[in-house]
Amino acid sequence: MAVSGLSVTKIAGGSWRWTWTAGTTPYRVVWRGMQVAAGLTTEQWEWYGSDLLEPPAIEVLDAADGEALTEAIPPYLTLQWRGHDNAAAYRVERYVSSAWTTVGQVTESGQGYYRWPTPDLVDGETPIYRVIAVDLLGNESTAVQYTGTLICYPEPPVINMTYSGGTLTVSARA
Amino acid sequence: MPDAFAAADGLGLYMTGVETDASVYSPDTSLGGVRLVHAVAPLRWYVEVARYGNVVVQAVSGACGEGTAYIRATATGSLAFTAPGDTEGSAVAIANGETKLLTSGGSASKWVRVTRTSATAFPVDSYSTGMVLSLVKPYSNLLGMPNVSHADRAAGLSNYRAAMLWAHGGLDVTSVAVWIRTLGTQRTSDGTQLSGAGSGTITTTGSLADWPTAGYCRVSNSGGTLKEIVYYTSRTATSLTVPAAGRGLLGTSATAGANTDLIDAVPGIRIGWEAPATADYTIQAVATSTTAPSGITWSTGITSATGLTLATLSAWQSYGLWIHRQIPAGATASHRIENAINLSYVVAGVTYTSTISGLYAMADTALALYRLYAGEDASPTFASPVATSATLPLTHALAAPGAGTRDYRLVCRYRNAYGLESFNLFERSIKINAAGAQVNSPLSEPDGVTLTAKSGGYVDLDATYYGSRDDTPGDTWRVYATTTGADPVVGVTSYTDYPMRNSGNGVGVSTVRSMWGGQTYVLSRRLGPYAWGTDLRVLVRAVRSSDSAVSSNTTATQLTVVTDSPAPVAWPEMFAGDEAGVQQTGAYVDTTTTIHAGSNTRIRQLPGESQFLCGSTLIWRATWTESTRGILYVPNGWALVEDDTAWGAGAGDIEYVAGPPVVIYLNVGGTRRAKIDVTNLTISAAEFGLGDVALTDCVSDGAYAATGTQLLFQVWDGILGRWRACVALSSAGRLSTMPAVWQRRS
Repeated sequence: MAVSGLSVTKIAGGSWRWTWTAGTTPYRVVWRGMQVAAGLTTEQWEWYGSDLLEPPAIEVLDAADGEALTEAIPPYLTLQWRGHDNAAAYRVERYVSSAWTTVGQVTESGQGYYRWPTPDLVDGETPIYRVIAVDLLGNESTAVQYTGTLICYPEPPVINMTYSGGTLTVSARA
Repeated sequence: MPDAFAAADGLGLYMTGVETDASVYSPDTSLGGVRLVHAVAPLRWYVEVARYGNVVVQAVSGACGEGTAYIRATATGSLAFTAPGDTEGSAVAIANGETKLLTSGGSASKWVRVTRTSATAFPVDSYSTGMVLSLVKPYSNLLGMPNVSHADRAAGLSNYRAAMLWAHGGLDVTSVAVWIRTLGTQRTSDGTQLSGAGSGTITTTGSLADWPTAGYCRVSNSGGTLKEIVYYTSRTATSLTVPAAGRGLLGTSATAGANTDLIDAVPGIRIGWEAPATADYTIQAVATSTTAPSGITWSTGITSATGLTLATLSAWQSYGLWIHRQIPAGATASHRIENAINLSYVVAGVTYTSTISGLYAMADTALALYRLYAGEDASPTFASPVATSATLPLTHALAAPGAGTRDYRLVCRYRNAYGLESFNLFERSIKINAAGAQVNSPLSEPDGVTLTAKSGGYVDLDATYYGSRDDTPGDTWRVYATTTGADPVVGVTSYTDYPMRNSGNGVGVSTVRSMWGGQTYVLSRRLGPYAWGTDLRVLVRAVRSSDSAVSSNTTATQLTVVTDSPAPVAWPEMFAGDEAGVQQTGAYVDTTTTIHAGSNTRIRQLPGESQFLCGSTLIWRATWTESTRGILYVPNGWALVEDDTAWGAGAGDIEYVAGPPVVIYLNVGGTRRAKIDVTNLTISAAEFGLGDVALTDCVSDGAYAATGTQLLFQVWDGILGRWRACVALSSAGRLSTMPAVWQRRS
């Protein structure tokens, strides 16, 4: 379960310390769907030396029962396919602006299964990808297409806050 | 161990379709017709570690459940399977080209079907986990059905899908049962119950903590007989809120509840059999996914006894299974809603069980909001926002306190149409007084304070201040620096202020630069030079001059100075290939210009270097290493002193005074403009600087040259064959190098 009482303070440039109310140890920290720390036994965790302006939005989970779903929703999709050894490589393309654009390549290595994580996507985005096997002579297979919708936790909004005459205004930061 | 498609793998669920369709079949077109070859996978597998390139996973049983599973080679030709949370099953020999069933240790219903695709021997994994699979429930499969749009959610929606059970192992499958899988712990509605119609609340003295936060509730009497299926839009730990539109779903009617009723969390589906036509083994096909099939007897039973049953499914035979999903109008959006069914069946006298799940998401565009949370003199609790808006800007009135000040701590989050909200904690602080004016709003501290070692004991200080964080940004850098090995102490350690905005005067040395770009300010300053081993500690704060507000940071950045320029190479030589040496033009290899014979004050010329000495005391070394770089080295222990003292008229260009103390004046136009105290190891001038005075190159030959307005110290450039000025003293008393830097050496 997610811990309660989570708070963050700045300890240095690009560095922050989170603290929380004691729960069931050990704790683990999840950021953008990835576990970045585990086995914590004290109610404190620090993040050092980033170039972020604000602390990252993390989730701290304890060992109590209950499924926390945030960690299951990273902000990217992963393509997986089964390869074959008469291919030399697999070309990954994305459909952008009415055209297919090569965005990655995976070399055939005999390992059988291959994965290609997309770059971080925006919540709600529906990208279209395809994978094409290519042999040493450049012959290409039929493309296998992937379409999916990413539903994940939104990133913190990038905003400014200003105060004037009794009114707070939250606006998008340029 | 059994081969594939036998035992627990003796029954499969497959999609349906129309054989004439040449397009790719999909769950969304599984609307009846014939049984297709595409199985409905109860779980999908994500290959975390592809340990064996010649092992293909064909299927995983739903009984395994979500989690991490392993396929391990126990021998060069044998594999064993471990379902999530289970023990390893027996090893199964598998030859090239074979497909086998691997069963987990704890249950025969937990299995994986794999194929070996080459004769390559498996690397035996005695201690590793082998092939690692992450088993997950699938989205939008035949059972989950498509995501629900905002419009369909608001209006309500019914979808239908058709699948076929198939005894695909060539064995009879008996005692087949299919029923709705519950999603939480059964409770009794012993608190409050629904009336015979309309909205209401169901409460229990038990706990609903493991129920979905919104979903479907099956109400049955104490004997288990179905009374009604309702939809609850929200719940607490003990209560379900049921709107009027959530009454009487999935073929039931609104019925008054009783305090002995049993309540179960169920998915919003019902199921029904259809026997295929004997002639062609097809079932009816509906035109669209929202078209109800005819003649189906629907079941919402949640046990094997009350669900669908089939005594015998003969070998190779199929049987139709319809699924109806009903979304009531105004259902609650969610990113993860589950449909699930259980199966049990007997193959060769052994009973097996399975589960098939499908997930879908449901959108509500009204949920997509910026949400402002506020705490007063404390962090916000995020219980409920004080203001929301679908777009920015968002405005909110901040009430002034009756007296004193009130510190509003503000966090803005964003929630999407599926109810997922960002979970940032970063607070902005706005403090207002009783008059509603903002007071002493704190300043953010500078970011990215770094100290970078440069040659010759210099250190570059860089920092960034993001003014956009503060409603009224700072405008001044405040730099504290110590070399004592202790952090600067605010209020004790002296500091220097520098404006964040470029003054724009363009005159003089600018060692602080600020960039205007989105309210971002950059500090870049060269400190030093410091002696080797100096423990430099620097604290940088932001200051707002309008109210003297200062950022509160106290953490210093530290650097131990360990840089020093190497001495220039000596005795440069040039050869024409390996023939005769080429003499450098007019090389002044080692000459001395005497300033004062009695004290042996002199300037000694070496290749590319000039040393200013008084007896055995080195005053400085001036070097010229390339056309744009000269360096003046001052020995450790000497101090550079800014001194505006008028020393009066002087004699000559370089004037020795015996003292004590022993002093050498540097004169410009007959006036003493700099003072070198050899006894006390100080060099005094009105100003010290780098590169701000245009020096005249090669005024005349010699270790030094004087014009009416400058005294130039020069070094011999053996490459260019001429004297090059590297140090200048102006008539204003500014002692500087061009364009070199001052360096202090040990």
